[in-house]
Amino acid sequence: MKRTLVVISCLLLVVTIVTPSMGLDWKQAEGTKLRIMFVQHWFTDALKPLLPDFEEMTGIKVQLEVLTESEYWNKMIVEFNSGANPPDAFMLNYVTVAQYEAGGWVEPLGDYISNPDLTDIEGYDFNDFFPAAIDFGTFKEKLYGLPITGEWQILFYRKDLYEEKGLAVPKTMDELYKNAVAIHSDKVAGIANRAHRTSAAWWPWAGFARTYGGYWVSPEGKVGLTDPNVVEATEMYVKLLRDAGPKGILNYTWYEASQDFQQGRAAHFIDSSGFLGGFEDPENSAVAGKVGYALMPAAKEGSSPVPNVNHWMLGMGAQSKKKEAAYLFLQWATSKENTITIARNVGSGARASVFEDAELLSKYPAQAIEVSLASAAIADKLALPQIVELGEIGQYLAIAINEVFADEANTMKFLEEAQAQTEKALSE
Amino acid sequence: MSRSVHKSKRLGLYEKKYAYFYILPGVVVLALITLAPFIYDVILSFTNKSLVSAKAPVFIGLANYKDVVTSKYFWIALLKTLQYAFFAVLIEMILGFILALLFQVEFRGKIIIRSLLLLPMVATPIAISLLWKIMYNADSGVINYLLGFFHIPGIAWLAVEKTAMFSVVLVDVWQWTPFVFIILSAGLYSLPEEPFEAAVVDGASLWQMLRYILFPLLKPILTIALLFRMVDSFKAFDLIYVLTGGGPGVSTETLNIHIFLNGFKYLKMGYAAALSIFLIFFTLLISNFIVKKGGLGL
Repeated sequence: MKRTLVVISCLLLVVTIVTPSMGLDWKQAEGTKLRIMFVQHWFTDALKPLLPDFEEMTGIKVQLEVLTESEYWNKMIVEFNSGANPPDAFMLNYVTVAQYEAGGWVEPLGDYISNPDLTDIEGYDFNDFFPAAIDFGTFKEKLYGLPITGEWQILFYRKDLYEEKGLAVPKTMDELYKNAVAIHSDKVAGIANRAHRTSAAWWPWAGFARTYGGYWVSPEGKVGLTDPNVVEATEMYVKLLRDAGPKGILNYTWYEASQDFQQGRAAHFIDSSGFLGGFEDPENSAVAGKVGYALMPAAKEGSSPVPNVNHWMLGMGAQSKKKEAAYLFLQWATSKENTITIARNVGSGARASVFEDAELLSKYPAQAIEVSLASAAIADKLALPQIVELGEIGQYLAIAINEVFADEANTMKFLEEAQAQTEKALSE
Repeated sequence: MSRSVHKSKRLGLYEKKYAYFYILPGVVVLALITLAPFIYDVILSFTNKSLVSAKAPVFIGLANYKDVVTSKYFWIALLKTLQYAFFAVLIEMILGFILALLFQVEFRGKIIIRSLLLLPMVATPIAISLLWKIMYNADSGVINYLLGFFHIPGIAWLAVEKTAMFSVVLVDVWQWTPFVFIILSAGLYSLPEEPFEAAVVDGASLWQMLRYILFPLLKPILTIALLFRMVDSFKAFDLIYVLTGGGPGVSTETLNIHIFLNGFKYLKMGYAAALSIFLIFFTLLISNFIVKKGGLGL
């Protein structure tokens, strides 16, 4: 009798030790309903078909609302201020991390990530994320956003038109200008870039400013719009649009500019590497296979460009009553598997493993991958100030760009005006 | 009189002192939806409320008002509002009046054409704005396409400062001329015929009839149409926002757009509230002027 007892207790002991730990219980928030708001974006398009997998795996119902970018930012502000049922998870960018932190609307993620009850620590592989991407979503030493895109400012050009006209890949802005003007015609514009006053024209512009050696707002908080380097950068940015841009260029947001390039109506586009997926998609793109990729041109011979960088991120609401469920969603959407799956459609991502994936590497031109990574190595997130007032000063800048376009002779005057307005906004 | 009226009179329910009770529900609802937000707006304008600050807003007195008056962009927005209102309303009144006059005559297909003319007014404003935006597109829009047949080079209607305001006004005119047309038609219909017959007998010319008989008689109706359109055009938002967003530069940034941008893009709610008080004040000023000059006897 005593022996049987010992044997049984030994067996029980062995069983409990040997049984693998259940790990993360994905169904721990089963039955919850999440309200998620995303921007109309390639990430959203790529994630939507995967949602049923999430719902099946976790038993959490997802109600996804999608809006175009400027409407999205407006709506988010209203949602957080009126507070009735603000979204549980949402897309964030560099600046809204600062804004939402100031409003107390966004939840720091550090504790969730290190909690083994909520995170499949080994499978999630947090260290797989590019450190710069994690840094991007960190504000005042806390991580608020998990990166879902890896975007670096690069030059897209039409290599078929280059061959036709015998042009060489531009190393400097002046060479780019000459190439754009040479190709520019009624059918194909030389270049398309963001210019609309409510678009985020400051994103590509800021890369120009850094490339010419200036800052929009320096890390010390000094406004640099009248700095001669920045003036030169602005003149070049506008010159390209004025002399080689399509007719309605001042109405172009990134939607229109990328569309024009994708439909073969523009020969150059200096913007996020994230667009390469759409450009290489043979079903939707008129220029698939004809796209050349290069680093953004430098300001002058021998110097190096300083591209801008962007990572869209996912964050969760501090006011949410379903934080565990929201975090599970965040973890799933940014998991290694999903990031790679989505990256295969897009050509880039925020994890190192993305750029080691054989399928992705075989699907996209080596040049595109090479240039993206090269740009990532020299990109500077400080091209943009991570401040609450970015929306406001962005408008002053966009107004200045529009006005310089219409009236080149008074460039300095418009920039001085924007400088004064920006300094005033920052001092309040 | 009906029996219920007799009964009510006997019970004294028609007494003047009960009048206030009868209108109380309506007044309460009106007060809640117009006065309450207005009072909140006034209070906001004295604070520094920002939409992204977790801190409670602080009372800062007249600082916002001072900022408004010293802001270059405010005066530009005011100018743009005046430009927009003046041109849109002027063209609408003239076109609406001509149409109303023309429709006094019987002709074939009148009913069909009238229905078509009314369509812009009843269609959804956002749908109208989006469709016109597509039509105005510099490269693929239908307007430049048609101009191409006359060998006129395409114009970037919404992307060039010189033409942006005109383009936006044009859409407003397209949308609201039917409104003026209806009001003036009703007015013309209600005019007595005798003065005109007498004028014809006396040998008056068309212009004399218009000037000495028609316009004086039509004045109250004209004033109403003018008042509605004027106040509405100060409030114009969806059209401008969709077509140009206030750009290029600030060439179509009317005061309403300026308020929206300050409140929801720059997140400075206190300042935006102060701006809105200016807009209210300005609208009241103009509408009072119109009412007084129009002799509506209000």
